[in-house]
Amino acid sequence: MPLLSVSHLSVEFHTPRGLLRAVDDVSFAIEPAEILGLVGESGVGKTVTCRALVRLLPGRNGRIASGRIDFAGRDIARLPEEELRHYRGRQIALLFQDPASQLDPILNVGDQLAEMILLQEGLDPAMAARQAAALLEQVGIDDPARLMAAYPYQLGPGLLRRVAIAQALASSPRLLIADEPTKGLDPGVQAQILRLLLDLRDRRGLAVIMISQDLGVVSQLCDSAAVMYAGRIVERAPKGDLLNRPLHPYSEALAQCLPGVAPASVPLHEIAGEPLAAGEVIPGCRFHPRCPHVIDRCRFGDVQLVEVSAWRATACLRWEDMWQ
Amino acid sequence: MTALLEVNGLSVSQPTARSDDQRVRRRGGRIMAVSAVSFELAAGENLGIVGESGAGKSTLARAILRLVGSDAGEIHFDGQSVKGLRGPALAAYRRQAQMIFSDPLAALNPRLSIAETLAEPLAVHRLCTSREAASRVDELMSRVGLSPELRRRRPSELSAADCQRVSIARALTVGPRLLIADDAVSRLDVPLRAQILNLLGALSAAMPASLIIMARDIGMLRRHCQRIAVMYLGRIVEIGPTEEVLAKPRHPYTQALIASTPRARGDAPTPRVTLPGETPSPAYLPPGCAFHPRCTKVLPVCSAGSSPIRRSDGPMTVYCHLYPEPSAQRR
Repeated sequence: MPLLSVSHLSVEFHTPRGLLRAVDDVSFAIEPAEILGLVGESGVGKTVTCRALVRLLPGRNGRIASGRIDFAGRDIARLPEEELRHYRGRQIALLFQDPASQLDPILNVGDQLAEMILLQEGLDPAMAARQAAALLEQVGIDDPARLMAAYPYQLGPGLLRRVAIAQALASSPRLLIADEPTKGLDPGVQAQILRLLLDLRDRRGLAVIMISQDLGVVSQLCDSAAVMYAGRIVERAPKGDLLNRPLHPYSEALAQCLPGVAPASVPLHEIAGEPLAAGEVIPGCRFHPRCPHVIDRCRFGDVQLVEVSAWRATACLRWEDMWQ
Repeated sequence: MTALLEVNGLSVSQPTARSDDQRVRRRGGRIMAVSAVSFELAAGENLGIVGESGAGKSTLARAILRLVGSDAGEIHFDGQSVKGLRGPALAAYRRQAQMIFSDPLAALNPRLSIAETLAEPLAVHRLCTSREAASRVDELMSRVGLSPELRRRRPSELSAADCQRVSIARALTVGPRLLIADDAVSRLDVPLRAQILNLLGALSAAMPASLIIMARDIGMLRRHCQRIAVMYLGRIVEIGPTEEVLAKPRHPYTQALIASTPRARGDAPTPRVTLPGETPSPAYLPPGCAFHPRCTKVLPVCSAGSSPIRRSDGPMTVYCHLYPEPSAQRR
């Protein structure tokens, strides 16, 4: 049974220019201890989807228009605010894009973590400090005592990430939503953070939804991935299948535009044109203006995500051609 | 082939904002951002410089263009020392050497339209009459793939990738012979990086200028650069032909850097930590080889004395004690 199951989720924002549908009919599920990548360019709705899972939509003008978010037998989309507190930040923890903004700049690391622990468990401060040290050890910090006295501004990007992860783990979550956890990190530190997330999954059975633009990162960390474009999921597949045999031209293009280090002397693949603006809707497949394989059929009607096997779904009308 | 640019033993120190550390304050609150960097760049050659944040890439770029001063060493452009240039001679040098900055939005004046941004250097360097400027601007915009409709837009109305195209076009206005792209793609969306990298490649193929591309990810450089230099904490640790660096990196840091670059493959290995810890701050440079605390192949000699001197191994120049010293090599 999946840990989290999202079905037909749509998120709308009221804007001066009218109703904007940032997430449109998105469905996916994640098992315990699974790492799922949510992939796509900026503005395709990855972050909004994840924020909707804990009903933390940015601004006051957004709302879940329809759909279900089933987590541990409850529908989070319909939970009263009081009960939501047991899930948001507790069973489902969040890791924001910028760790510096997630941490309080005027608290040292130890107080920062203890605050979370005290809030949740009603322990005394000494025990909370011990737990904070234990959390830091779990995220691979050898000398927790020294780090606990440090303030966020004194930490390098890798340590800052680790502290933010420790803070997210303070409530023993079952699901971690990580929004581009390695964005802006140097390759060496990036590898460390990916390794840490993998270890946490192995040791604690933590499930992770990871937002990323980089299929290189996804290929190293995730078990499966969902590719989003213009507010919709256009392909869902186990990681290996997605990279070796993508069934949607957008997934294919995302993989091909990575430079990588494997030998190749051809120019990098470019995705022609611009992505649709957030909430923009066009007839037919939303990717068709940029698609190299477009045919007349792609320009009309509403192209839906279809299951092509037990594990895979694609929203490409020509997926059978891509299969060959 | 004579070198267009020759950098010899260049060192640059920078003031630090926070000098709460005694060791730093004793040096007048300055840290070494670039130490004893030497390399040559031939006319028409493309050189990639790879290094993590804090490696000194940006400072090196700024020092070459005389945007910051240097403490020691020489920079020769076309056989002429750049160091003492003033007034009209410096302006003439800046017409020949241009830079593309890493943050496309911060590099552009928010109050100028794109057309004004591109016409400004033409006027400053008195390269054409204001009547000719309009057509030059159109031509520049089409060279970098910007739609003419964007002429009157301001940077805030453009995507990050288009801002970077404007930044590239602005560098091209003066017809430079040397173009330095300082980490020009790392702030862009992954699919947009490919567009800008291809644009740089196409431009460099179409013009005689030399190009220095700085990046944090070695994969970004391989297509457009004949040679790659690897920097760590202000020093070049290895420099040589691109394919040789990728296929057979000599310095342990380069080896670790390449191993930690993710590849998009279905059977990708799980991430391995090849670079433990973080790059130390340039304010606390380790003695000896600055990489030795993180190096897996460290020898007793690495932590003693000064930085390793230059050695060569095949086509590569490497600064590492694992390789024999030049005197030993000759024997």
